[in-house]
Amino acid sequence: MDFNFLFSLVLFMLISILLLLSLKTIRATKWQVKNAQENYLKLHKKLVDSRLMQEQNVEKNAYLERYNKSLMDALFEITKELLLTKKSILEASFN
Amino acid sequence: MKNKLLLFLALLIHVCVFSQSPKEIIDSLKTELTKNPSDSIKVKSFSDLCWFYRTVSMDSAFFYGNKALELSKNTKNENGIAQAYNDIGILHYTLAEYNEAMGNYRNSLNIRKRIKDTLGQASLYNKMGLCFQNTFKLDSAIYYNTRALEIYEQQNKLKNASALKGNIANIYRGLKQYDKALKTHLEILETAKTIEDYPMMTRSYNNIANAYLHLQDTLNSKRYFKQGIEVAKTHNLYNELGALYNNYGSLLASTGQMQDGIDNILKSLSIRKKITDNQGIASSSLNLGDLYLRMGEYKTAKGYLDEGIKLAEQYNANELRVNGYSNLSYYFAFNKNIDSVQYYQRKYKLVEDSLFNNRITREVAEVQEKYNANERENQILLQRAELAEKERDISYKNNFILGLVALAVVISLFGFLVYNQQKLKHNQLKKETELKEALIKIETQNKLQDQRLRISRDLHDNIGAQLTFIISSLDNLKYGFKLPDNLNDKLKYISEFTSSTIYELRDTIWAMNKSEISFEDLQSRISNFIEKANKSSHAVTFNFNVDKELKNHKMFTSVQGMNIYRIIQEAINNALKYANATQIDVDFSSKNTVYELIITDNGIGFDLNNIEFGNGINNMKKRAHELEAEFEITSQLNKGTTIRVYKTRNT
Repeated sequence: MDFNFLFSLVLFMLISILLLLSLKTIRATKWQVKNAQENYLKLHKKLVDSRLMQEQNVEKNAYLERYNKSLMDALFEITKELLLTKKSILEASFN
Repeated sequence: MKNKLLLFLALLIHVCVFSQSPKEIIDSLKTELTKNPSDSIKVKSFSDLCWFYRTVSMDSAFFYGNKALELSKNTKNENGIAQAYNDIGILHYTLAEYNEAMGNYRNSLNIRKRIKDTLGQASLYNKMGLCFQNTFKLDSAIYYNTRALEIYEQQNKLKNASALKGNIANIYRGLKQYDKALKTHLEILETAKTIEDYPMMTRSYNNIANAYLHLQDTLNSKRYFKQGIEVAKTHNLYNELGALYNNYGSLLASTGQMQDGIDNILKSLSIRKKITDNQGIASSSLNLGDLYLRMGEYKTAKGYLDEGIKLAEQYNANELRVNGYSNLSYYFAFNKNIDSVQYYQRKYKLVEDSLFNNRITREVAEVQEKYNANERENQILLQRAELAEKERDISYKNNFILGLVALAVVISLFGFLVYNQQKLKHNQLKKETELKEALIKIETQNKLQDQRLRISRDLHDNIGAQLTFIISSLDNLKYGFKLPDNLNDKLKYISEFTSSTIYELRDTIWAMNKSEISFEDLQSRISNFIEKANKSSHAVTFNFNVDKELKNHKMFTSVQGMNIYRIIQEAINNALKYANATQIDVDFSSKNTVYELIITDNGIGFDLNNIEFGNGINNMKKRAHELEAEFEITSQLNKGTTIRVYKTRNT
């Protein structure tokens, strides 16, 4: 076989293969970009939701902290009143 | 101005030169040179000296030709150089040194091509054609003459073109291609008629008639001879007329019209003698001698033959001599003079051998030329093949280079694409990782917060149960034992306080267990509260209205919902407890960019200027502030109270 023809054939095949690979790479890159964008959006949505939940939880905890304080005050008041009543009852019983 | 003067001087010299004999011209040119004229005039003078010395002394001609060339080269006068080469070439041509002549013509041609002197080029092509013609290279002669002809025709130099055509026709005749020669002569005739060049016209008639004779068409031959004779007679062209009568006479004699033939040839001889055309006289005399011999008039024939041979020998006209010697040997044979017969036979043989040798030489040259042409063609074919091969090699190489370049481009493209893909992948992974890390961090914090909420819920459940137990114990104590009134009041106060704490706790647990609170949730919770409140007082009409748009879209966080609930609860509490209201309206609306909560009652109202707000109103203000909203309260005595909580839409 003629060397020139062989060389041309090999050259042509190499170019063709590389072009095919290039096309494949372009397609893969596009698919990758699309996939990554979807993943990113999902993660971003999840993050936003988590942040919202975190804000709500922080809000709730802050509220509860305040409420627990007032609850403790109320419980202390009740305990104080009960002890005073107990004292009055005991005083009335022994007198 | 200087140039014009030079031109005038040159013209003057030229006019003077052509009106004198060569020797006189040479003298006048030399005199002119002694006046030390400009270089261009010197070149012109040297060139003219070379030309005119050509017929006097060849050595002097070469001397002045070389001087013209040298001076032209020194003064860079390209026209002069070309003319000098041309003149030297002509000198060599005159000496039959055709190779040297060709060399000089070529040098001159190159310069004339460079300076675009087309007529000069045509003249050189013509001269080169003559060189080839004289060396029997007839193909090349035709080629160069044709090139000269093309130029003359382009420049509309019809006379020059016709002269060249005459040359070409002669070459065809030499090659025995009479039809081509005839065609060319007919073209020349047409041109001669157009430009009314009568000498050329008569020569053409003669040539055409001869060509027809070679083609054995005697009728046409006669017709053209007659026409030629008529034109030559009309315009007194004696030279041509002599030739025409001679040829026409020969033709007539060859067709058996002997006397007519002799008459015509006699006319030719008479004209030729009148104009002293010695070669012509020889030809006509010999023809007459031949015809008289054939007619048996030997004495008359002898006179013409002697006259003809004398002139033919004088001008070395071998073909005429051959005929003359042959006829004379016939004449002496008839007179039985054997010595003379032998003598003229020997002479005849010698001249004929010489002619034969010339013919052989010419034919050998022709064969050689043909062989050379074939050789050249083969060489051209070989060169073309080599060229084609080289072109193919170059084409292959170009294709390889293009292929390699394409490969390099494709590799670069592929590399770039892969690099781009990897870079993109890396960036995406980086972003994803960052997001994931942030997400993990937030989720961890959320878990912690959830844990805290769960602990709070457990604690509240436990406290709720214990508070319920306390209330139950207090009720048992109150109804199981007879206690003094002050203690009963105390126990009642503790029970009520504990109950309100439990309600608050339940409301808080309700709110904290929800991630979002809707208007329906709020409405049902408030309705429950109103129901319980109604049990302890007179009947109250309660309206809860929400804008349709708000109902569909607006949701509250648990803390927001809790704060709104507490504001409404406090307002209702006040309306029931202090204002004795029978109707309470709660409206949620959205007007333009403002969300509004309006709680209206129809109670006794109060004077805003004469009242001091207690904890309830202050708590409502505080909760409105936590909602980032504004708080407004309006009231009139016996006209009820309105509480308005509002905020702008963006939150």
